Amino acid sequence: MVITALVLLVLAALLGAYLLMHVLRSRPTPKAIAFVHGPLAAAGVVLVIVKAITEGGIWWLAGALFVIAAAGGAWLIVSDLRGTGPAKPLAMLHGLLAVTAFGVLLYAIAHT
Amino acid sequence: MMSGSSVWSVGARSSTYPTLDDNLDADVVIIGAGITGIVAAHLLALAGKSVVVVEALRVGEGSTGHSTGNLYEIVGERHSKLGSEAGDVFAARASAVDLIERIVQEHGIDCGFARRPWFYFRETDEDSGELDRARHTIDRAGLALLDRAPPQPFAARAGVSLDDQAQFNPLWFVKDLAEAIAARGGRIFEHSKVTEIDDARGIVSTEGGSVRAEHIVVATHTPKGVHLVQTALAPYREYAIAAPIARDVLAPGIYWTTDPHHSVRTHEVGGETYLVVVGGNHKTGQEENTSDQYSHLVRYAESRFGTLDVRYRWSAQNYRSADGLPYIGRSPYSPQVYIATGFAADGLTYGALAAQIISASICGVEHPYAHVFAADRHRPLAAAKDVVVENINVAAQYLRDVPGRDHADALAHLVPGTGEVLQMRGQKVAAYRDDDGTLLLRSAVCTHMKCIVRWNDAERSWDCPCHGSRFRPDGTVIEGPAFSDLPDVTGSEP
Repeated sequence: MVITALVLLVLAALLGAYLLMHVLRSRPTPKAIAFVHGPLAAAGVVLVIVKAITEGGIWWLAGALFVIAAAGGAWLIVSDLRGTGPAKPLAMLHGLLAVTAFGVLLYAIAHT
Repeated sequence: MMSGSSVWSVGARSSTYPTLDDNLDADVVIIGAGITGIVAAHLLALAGKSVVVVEALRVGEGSTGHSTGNLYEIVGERHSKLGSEAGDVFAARASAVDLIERIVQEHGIDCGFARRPWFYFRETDEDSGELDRARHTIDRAGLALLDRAPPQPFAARAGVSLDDQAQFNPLWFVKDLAEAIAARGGRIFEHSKVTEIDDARGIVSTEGGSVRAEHIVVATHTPKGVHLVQTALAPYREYAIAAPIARDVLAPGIYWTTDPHHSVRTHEVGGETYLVVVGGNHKTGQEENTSDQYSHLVRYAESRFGTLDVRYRWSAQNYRSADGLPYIGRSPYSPQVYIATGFAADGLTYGALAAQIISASICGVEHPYAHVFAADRHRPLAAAKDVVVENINVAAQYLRDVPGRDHADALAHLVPGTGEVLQMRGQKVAAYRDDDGTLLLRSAVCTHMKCIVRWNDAERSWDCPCHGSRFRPDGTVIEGPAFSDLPDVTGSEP
């Protein structure tokens, strides 16, 4: 399960980085990428939370950070589709949070 | 041949109205001067309300002026969507047809209004069951169906008929009624595209001015901007042709065929009788070769009426609701905003009905059938399947927006009069080369909800496959929920 979560989150991160480049360059984000990035990340986060339920401890921190990042991601896609456009600072914060959560996840894996 | 012009425009009044260039106050501001907006303005003005109508194009020249001109109490192809409410729906629609007749008589409007029979029939031996579903629904509603075959040249295998439906010239009707409204002091503005609706403050803004009003009526066929009701609507386009025929070839009436659906009628103007044939509907922005739709119509018509000199061809957009009924009335999210949408291909009658319901509501009166069409209704059992199917379809359109390799070199091969979506410098570009060879480059990202637009060759427009926004080749909005034009990206040209 942890390996599956890692694979899903790495794929989501790669697509997210691609999207972030478009946002920072003020270009329209390719919606196919955005619509795959979100569900991939969400699936990975669900697996992390399932692991947190069974393991507890540091896994909860990773799960919580991912959930906050996911909320930011949901806000970004809604604001993008509604025409206000994804705010660059929020997009960067979303990415930073996700990377931090991923770091915590790696730490949890290494110390479990 | 007049491509894009409907036969209804022949002989239409040429009255013009100013562009809004001031900040006004009114009791009601109506966005859209089609049949819904103009009839609502008429009823509200009669009730003593001060009304301002703002229209992006010209009065009646949107969907109303590109419709069939048929008025009927029953509905189009979606009988199976109607349950126990069918009787109420038909009664409400009959009252709307009566309203139009009353307005025509009271104001002496010369629009060729006449009561006509309606025929619905199958021309082939293959039976999809659509006819039986219609018969069952209409019977259950208690309408007096007749077992009467349509006249030659139709060769009906089975069919039903009703008396006392109606036909008119919808463009002449709304243009004449608009004149009557203006003559009584109603304020109508053309070429005044709404750029923002501030429902909290009750202000509708255009590029040149604004109107502050207690009530806002959005009579634009689908609400402008992002609205939750759009998840329960699907945009479709339908096509029409008109050609002169001898006067006695087809008796006046509404002739609908099933499998595939065509609507046929005649129309007399300028001493000539025209055959009008409508059909070939498809999801907006999801048909590769839209010009073929006209060819199909011509083949269908010529197979029954002989060789035709097609002089007019046009198309119009309609929005199908998930549960088969339009959404009419107060917006669930903004109590001072009224919407009227989801008319499917039955828009003229539903438009007049929407005007009745909304104007009554603004005047504090509950229309007897308002609850049937309420915009805040919830009919999950009737709507669920279509909501799911349509939104999967919308998601599939978004998933077509994949990054690709730049192919700006394709611009050199773009034939005059055609358009194509190309990837240039990392973004999707709607490239159009006009008949003079001038290249227009606009962002291909729809300004409504960011789908990628597609080229419509029959109408030379960029059409959004998600929610039906349409744009001219130069990117300006024609219709649909988008407020803003497609941005000019000429700087992206290599």
